[in-house]
Amino acid sequence: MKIQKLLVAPLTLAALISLAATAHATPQQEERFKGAVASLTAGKPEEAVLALEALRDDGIDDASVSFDLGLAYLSRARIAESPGDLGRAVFSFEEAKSLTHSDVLHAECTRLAGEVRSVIAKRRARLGQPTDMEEAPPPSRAFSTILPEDNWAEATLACAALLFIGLVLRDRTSGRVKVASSILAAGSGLLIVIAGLATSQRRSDRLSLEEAIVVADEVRPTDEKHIVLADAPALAAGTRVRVTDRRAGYAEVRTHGQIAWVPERTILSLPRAN
Amino acid sequence: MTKLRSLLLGLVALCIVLAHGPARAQLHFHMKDVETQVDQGEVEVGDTVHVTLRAMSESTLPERPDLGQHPGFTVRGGPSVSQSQSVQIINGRTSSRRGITATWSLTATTVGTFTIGPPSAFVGATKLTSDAVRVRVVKKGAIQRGSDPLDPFGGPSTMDPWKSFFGAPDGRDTRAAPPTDPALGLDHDDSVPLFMHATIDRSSVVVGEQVTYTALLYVDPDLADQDFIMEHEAAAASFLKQTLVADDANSKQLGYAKVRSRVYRVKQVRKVAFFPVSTGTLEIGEQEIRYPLGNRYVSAKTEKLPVKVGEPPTKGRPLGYSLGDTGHFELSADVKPREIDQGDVTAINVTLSGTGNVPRAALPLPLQKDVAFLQPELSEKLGSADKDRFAAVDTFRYVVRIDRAGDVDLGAIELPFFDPDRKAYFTARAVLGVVHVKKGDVKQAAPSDPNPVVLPEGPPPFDTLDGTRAASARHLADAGWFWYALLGSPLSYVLLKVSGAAARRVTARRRERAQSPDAELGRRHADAKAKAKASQSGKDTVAAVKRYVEEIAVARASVNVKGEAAEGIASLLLEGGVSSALAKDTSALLTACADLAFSPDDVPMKEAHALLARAEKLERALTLESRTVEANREETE
Repeated sequence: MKIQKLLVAPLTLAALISLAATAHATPQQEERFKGAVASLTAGKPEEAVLALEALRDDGIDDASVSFDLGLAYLSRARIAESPGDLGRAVFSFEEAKSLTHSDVLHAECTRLAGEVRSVIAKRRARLGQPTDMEEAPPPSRAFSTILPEDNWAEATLACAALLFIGLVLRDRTSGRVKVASSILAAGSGLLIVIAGLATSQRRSDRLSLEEAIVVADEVRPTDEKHIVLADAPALAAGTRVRVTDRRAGYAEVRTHGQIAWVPERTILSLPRAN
Repeated sequence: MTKLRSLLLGLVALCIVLAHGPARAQLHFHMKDVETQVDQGEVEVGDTVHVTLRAMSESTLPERPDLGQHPGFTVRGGPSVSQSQSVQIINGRTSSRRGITATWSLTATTVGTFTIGPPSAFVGATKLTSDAVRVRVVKKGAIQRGSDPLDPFGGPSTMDPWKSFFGAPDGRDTRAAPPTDPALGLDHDDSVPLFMHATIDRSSVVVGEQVTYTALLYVDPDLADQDFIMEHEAAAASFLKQTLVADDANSKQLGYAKVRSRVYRVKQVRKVAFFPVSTGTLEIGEQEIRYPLGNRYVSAKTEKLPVKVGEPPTKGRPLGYSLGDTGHFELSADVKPREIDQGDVTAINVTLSGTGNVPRAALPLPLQKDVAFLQPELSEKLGSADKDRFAAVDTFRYVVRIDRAGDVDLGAIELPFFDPDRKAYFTARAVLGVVHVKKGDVKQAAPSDPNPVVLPEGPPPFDTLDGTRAASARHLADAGWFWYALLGSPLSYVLLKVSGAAARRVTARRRERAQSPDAELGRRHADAKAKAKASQSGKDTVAAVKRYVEEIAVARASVNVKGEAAEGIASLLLEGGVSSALAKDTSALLTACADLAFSPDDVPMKEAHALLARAEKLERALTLESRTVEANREETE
C-alpha cells in the first residue's frame, strides 16, 4: 500500500505539471483563429495578419497559427508588399517547422520558406548583393539532426546493453560464440560513443542554441560599439543567424563565419528544439 | 532786364535750395542717429551708471565705439555691443539702416559733477560723435531711495530700454529691479553672469507620449542682449523631436526671474516636443551655448534630464495597435469617383489629424485581392495646439486600382491609438465605402520589369490548430537514470568481473586453509573443548578437559605433553616459549585432571566444571601471551 502511494504521488504531480505547461487555446481563441483563416481565404491578409499576430501575442505557440501567419504575410506581399513582409513570412514558416510534429506540415513549411528565400535571393542577385541566407551547420550538428534526441538516447542505451551482453558472453563462452561476442562488444562500444555524442550534441543544442531569422529587409551588421562594419555584407531578410549574446537592444549574431551585432528588432528568435 | 535777372537769380536760388534741401535733411538725420543716454543723472559714490551710445548708419555698420573721457568714474565693464537693423518704406521708397548699441558700466568714485564723453563711433573713416552727458555724484546715503508706484519700470525712455534696471548689476541693489515672474525663479548659483536651465513637463511617460522640453537662458540684465552661438542641441537619440515654435532660430524673451538674491533676464532658447521611441530610463542630453562676454565667450549648458518610459497597458490593447501611436487622432476619408470601370482607378484622400505622436509613415490599409493601393502622396501641416501639444494634419492621397467588377466594398481604415490623457485605447476610423465598378476590359499595365520575380502562391491555410507540440517534453537525456544506465553497463561488467575474481580467491583460500596442520589442530582443539562441555559424567568431563588442555598446549606452544610427568610438562612448555607461571598452571591443571581421572570415586560435576573453567581461563591466558610474543617479535623484526 505504501509503495502504491509512493508511486502515485509523483506520477500525479508529473501529470499536473505537464498539463500546466501545455498552452491550450481557449474556445474564444479558436474562434479568432477561424476568423483569421476566413479573412485569409477571403483575400484580406491584413486582417488575418493582425488576428494571427494577436493570437501569438496571447502565447499560442501553434504550428497552424505560424503557418497561416506566413501565408498571410506572403499574401499581403503579393497585394502590396510592406517592408519586412517576406522576412516575417520566412520566419513564420520556420517557426511552424519548429513547432509541428507533422511531417506533412514540416515539408510544406520547408518548401514555402525555401521559395520565399529564393525570391529574396533573386532580387538581391539582380542588385549584385550576396544571396547566402542559410549557413550549413557544422558536421557534428548536421549528423546529430539525422535522428531526434530521444532516438539517439534510446540507441545509446541499447548499445550499452549489447556491450554488457557481449562482454559477459565473451568471458563465459569459447570458440565461435566467443569471437561473435567479442565483435558484438567492440561494435557496441563504438556505437555507444557515436550515439552518446549525438545525444549530447542534440541536448546541448536544445538547451543553449538560439537561432533567429532576420525579418527586416536588410540589416547592416555593426561591431560591438554599433559602428557599421564596412566590409561585412548586409544581412538579407530570411537569413538564419545564431544568437550568442544580447545587450542594450542589440543582439550578437553569427552567420557564415561572421560575428556581428544587429538591432534586436530586426530579428525574431525561433522556438528552441523541444 | 533787372526783373529778368532777378527772376533768374531767384530760380537759381530755388534750385540750390531744392538741390541742397535733402542733403541738409539727410545731414540732420545723420546727426540724430548718434545718441548717448545715461541711466541716472545723480548717483552716490560707489553706484554704477550705464552709458549707452547708439549709432545708426545707412551705409556701413558703425564700429569702434569709444566712451571718451570719464573723470570721477572708473569703467567697470563694456562696451557691450549689440547690432540692429531697421528697414523703412516711405512713399514706396525703401531705406535700410544698420546700427550698434554700445553700453559701458561706470562706477562713481568721487563726489562732484562730471562730464562723461562725448562717446563716438566710426562709420568707415568718418567719426560720428555724440553729445557728452553730465552726472552728479553725491556722497553715500545722500539720495532718498524709492520707486514711483505709478511707473514700475522706472519710466524707461524709448531710446534706452535698460534704463530702469541697469542699476542692479550685482543683484544686490534692487531699487529699480523689474518685476520678476515667480514661475521662472529657481535655486541656482547666482554668482555667474549667465546660465542655462532646462525643464520637462513630465518625467514618466509611455512610448510615444509627448514630453515638452524647454531650454531657458538666464542672463544678467547688465549684459547686453546679444546673439549667442548654439554649440550643440540636446542629444536625445531615443526620441523623435518636433519643435513647438515657428521660428526655432530666434529665442523668445520671457521676462525676469529672481534667482536667490539676483535678478536675471530669461530667454526661451528652445521649446521642443520629444516623443520616446523605446522603453527604459532615457536621457535628454545637455544643450550648450556660447554667449559673447566682452572679448570672450562664456559657455553655458542645460542639465541632463532623465525620462522614465514604459509601455501603454497591454490590457484592452486593440488589434493592430502599433507601439508609439500615442496621442489623440482622427481620421476622415473622401473617395472620388465612386463609379469607375473595371481596371480603372479611383482617388482616396485620407486625412489624419490629431495631437501627439501622429504617425506619418503609413496607414494600415484594408488590403484585399484585386484592389491595389499605389504609393500615396503625403502632405502635412505641423504645429502646436493648446497647452504646447504638438499637432499635425497629414493628408494621404492614394490612387486605387480596382480589377474586380461589381460593388466593391473598400472597407475602412482603422488606426488604434493610446490616449495618455484619458489612459485608454481608442480607434480612429474612416470608412471608405463602396465603389461601383462597371464590368469591362481590364487594362493590364505594361510591366516595368520584363522579367519580374514572382512571389509563390501559398496553399490553402490550415483551419484547425495543430496542437501537436508538447510545451515542455521530458527527454531521456534529461533524466539522471539515463546517464547511470549508460555508465552502468560497462561498470556492472567490471564489477561482475572483479567480484567473481574476489569470490574465487576467497574460496581458494578457504580450501587451502581447511587442509593446513594449523586448521587440523584448531579442529581437534575445538572438538576437545566441545566434548568437555558436553560430557554428562564427572570423570568423562575430567578426561575431556585433560585432552582439551593437551590440545591447547599443542596449539599454543606446539608441544605434545601427552603422557609426560608434571616436571616434564613444565619444562616442555618452557621450551615451547610459555612463561613459567603459565607452564606451572598448565602442569598443575593436567596433574589435577590425571589425579581425578584415576581416582576410584566418582568426580562431582561441579568439580569437573571448575576444571573446565580453569582450562578455558588458561587457554585465554596462553592465547594472549602467544599474541603478545608474536607482536613483540614482529616489532623487533
